[in-house]
Amino acid sequence: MLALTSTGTELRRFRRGLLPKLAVGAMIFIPLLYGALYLWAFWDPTGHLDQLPVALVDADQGSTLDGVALHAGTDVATRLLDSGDLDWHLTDAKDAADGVANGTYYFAVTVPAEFSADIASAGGADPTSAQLLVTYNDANSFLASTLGRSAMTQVRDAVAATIGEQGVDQVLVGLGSARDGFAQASDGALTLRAAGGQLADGAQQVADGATSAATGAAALADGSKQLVSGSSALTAGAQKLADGAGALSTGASSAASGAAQVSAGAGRLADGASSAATSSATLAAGAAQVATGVHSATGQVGQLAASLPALQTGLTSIGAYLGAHAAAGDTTAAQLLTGLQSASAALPSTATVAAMSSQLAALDTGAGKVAAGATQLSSGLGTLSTGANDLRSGSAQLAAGTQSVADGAGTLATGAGSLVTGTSQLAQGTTRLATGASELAAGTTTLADGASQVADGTVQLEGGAQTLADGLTTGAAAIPDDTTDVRTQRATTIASPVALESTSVAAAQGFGEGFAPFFIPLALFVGSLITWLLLRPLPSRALATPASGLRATLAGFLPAMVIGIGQVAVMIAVIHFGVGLQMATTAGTIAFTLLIVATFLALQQMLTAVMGPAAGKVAILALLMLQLASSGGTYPVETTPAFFQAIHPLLPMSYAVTGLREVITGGMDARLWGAVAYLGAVLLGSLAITSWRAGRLRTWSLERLHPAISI
Amino acid sequence: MSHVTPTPHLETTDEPQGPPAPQSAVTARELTLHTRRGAVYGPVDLEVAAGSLVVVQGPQGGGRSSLLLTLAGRMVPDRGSVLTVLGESLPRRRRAVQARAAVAGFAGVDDLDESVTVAATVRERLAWLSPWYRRVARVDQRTFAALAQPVFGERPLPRVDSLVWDLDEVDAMLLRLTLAMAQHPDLLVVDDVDQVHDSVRRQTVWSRLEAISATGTTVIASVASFDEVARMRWDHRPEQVMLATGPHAVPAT
Repeated sequence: MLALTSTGTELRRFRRGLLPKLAVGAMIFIPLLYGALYLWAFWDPTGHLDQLPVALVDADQGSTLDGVALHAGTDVATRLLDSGDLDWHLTDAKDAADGVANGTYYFAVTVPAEFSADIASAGGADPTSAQLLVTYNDANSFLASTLGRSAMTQVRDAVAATIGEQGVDQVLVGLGSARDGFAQASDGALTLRAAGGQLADGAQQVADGATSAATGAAALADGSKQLVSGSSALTAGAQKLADGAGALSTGASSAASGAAQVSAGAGRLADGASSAATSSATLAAGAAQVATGVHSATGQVGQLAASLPALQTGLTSIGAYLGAHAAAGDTTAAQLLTGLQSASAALPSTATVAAMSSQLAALDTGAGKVAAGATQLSSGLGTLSTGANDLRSGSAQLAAGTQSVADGAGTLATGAGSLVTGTSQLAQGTTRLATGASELAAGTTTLADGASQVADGTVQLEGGAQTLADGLTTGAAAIPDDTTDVRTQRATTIASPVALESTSVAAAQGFGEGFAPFFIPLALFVGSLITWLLLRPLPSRALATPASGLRATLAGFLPAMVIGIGQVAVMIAVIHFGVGLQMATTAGTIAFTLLIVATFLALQQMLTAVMGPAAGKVAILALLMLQLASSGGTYPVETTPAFFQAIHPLLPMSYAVTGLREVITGGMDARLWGAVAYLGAVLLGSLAITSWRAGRLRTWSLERLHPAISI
Repeated sequence: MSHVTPTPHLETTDEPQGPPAPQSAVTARELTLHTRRGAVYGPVDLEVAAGSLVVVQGPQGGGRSSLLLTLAGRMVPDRGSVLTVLGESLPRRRRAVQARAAVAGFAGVDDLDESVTVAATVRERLAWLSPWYRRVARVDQRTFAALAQPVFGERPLPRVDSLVWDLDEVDAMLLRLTLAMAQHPDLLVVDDVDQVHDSVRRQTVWSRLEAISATGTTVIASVASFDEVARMRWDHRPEQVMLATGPHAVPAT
């Protein structure tokens, strides 16, 4: 044996005497108690549920279904009793209640009175789920209740499958009828769609007509508004007419009286004209005489005027003789000359005489014209006299005529007053007409809109009816057209639509095998604790020598490891051969279990070395509790509070559980090698820390020499 | 078959050991130890010549074990203490002193497992003292004789297959000394020689310690009885150190 691997006297001291041997036995067998005993007890709890006394009460009163008596409760009770899943005791309600209360039964199942009725109701008007009543009492055993709930879930599924088939079958029969109804409904929808099309056309026409009516009504409204204004103007005109007719009547009356006066005046004029005609005849005669006289006078004057130039010449010769005498100093000649000169100056000049001649000619002409005019005047006055007589008779007639006009204008005024009244009434009426026409216009517009909407709606109705028809057809097609056999098969499938078919990558045999990966590390951790209670983690004799820390560490570790190997051998053997655990890989399981025990021993040795025997033991126990809760060996760690999830990956038992699951159940993968690596690292790390600590422990302290607390 | 050379050191008494002829194996000045529980020992001034035997006398609980462990480099004294053992300054050079100083007789340190044979006990110690790769053979009577004879002297050796609990008190004490001497120490500290209750047998122990010191190994041993040196027979009356300090101070004789 190498010096390094010497186990020293650590184990040899247990060879002598009964108690030390028992101690070694305890070290080796304690893990067995934890591991194998627990596993044995929990190996297959669900396999012995038929030993679990459970009360069964059938209170079902039965029912009828399609005229056939239905006793579903009895059927269920019979089936449960026959199945033997649990230790059923058919009893009455009181016994069941008492039994559950006092623990005779773990729980009670009651088929209620209305069970069959509820089942029958599945195809009826008020379908109600049938109930199975289960009464638990966790005071009897919580786990029994839990197992019972699990068992009752299976019972429920089984009963539901059978009962469900009957109910679904009835529903399927109804569905067959529904299929026919759907087809009829589809036809009706198609008819509805055709009618909808017609309705759409009619509504469209109504809409068009209403639109035209609206347009006309709008025109009517406008016209009636114009009529209102026209009738108002008419009323005003009639009023003016009445006023004018009145004035005309008055004026005509005045004209009649004036005409009468004219008639009278014309009479007098006729008389005067007659007189004037007579006088003017006289005048004409006188004027003709005047004209004759003037004409004679004019001729004479003309002769006179023609002798004047000879006088002039004579006078000039006298004037030149006298002037020559006067110039010769004859005074009487001068005087005669002066007088002659003044007299010749006073004589009219030839021009004046010419003018006087022309004026006399004009007078002659004028007198002739006066004579002619007087003649014409005389004849005109005769005519005037005649006309005046005519005027007198005509004006008399005018007076009479104007009087008639006056009378007619009065009548017209009266009629025009009536017209005013009538046109006022007309104006009021046309106002109402305009109002009504406006309302009519608005109403017909609304009608047009509504009719358009109706038209649109009926188009949609048509589309909807088509959709309905299509949907009903599709629906009818969707409802299976089953034969009786297919219907039964379908009822079965619908009643249990989902069947579980599970495949396991790695399958645990049962409850016990599932728990083995948890109990084995737990047992080994406790086994290590027991081992270190009896063995010295760091033999003080080794520390007293100059041997290295690692040597001292191995001096403590190796004897413990020998015990650990014994623990593993005994426990695996008993679990395999005694309890019946099958391992996917026996060699792998043993090797991994040895790694676990080595790791736990080294870890606990390290804790004891670092913290001292007393505090180290406390720490080991605390670590044990933490690992129990966080290793995920019982419930998945994800179901535990966050604290345990956080420490789960830190603690070696988590890896021990994971790795053992794989070597026992199979399906080895990277998790196993990860577990091996982690446990190996903890093992070597713990040994290294213990070695370092052992070097320090070669120097004693008074506390260590005389500990205040020793375990 | 043992690969450990059987006690050449003890058989060749004139062989020089350790540092070249240290006149003083232990030099201590103002050596004290206090813990939270109070004063343990000191102050102690010591001057132990190499190859001499020193008897430390003090009452139970008077700090004898602590003082001896301190001298053997297994315990650290207060700061301010000046201590040189085998030429090495303590506590700094503890590792070197631990290799050259052996301890025996300390309760809680080198106790023997009662139900184990002498051979197993010796073999365990030889394994610890051997290089890790050496094979350590079973210890037979001859191997044990070679190892134990220098310690047991004239006294008949126990059989190697006898159990420790069958050993006489003196044989158990001598076995512990044998195990300590297997280390070939330059300094041997032995605690509580009183554990050999019978004074006649204790005389044997003292004689063997005197013989060991005569081979050049400095021996410092403790005893509770104040008149132990006076009552025992000595070839050379050993130097005595009275340890009476702290709450255990008792007038020395």
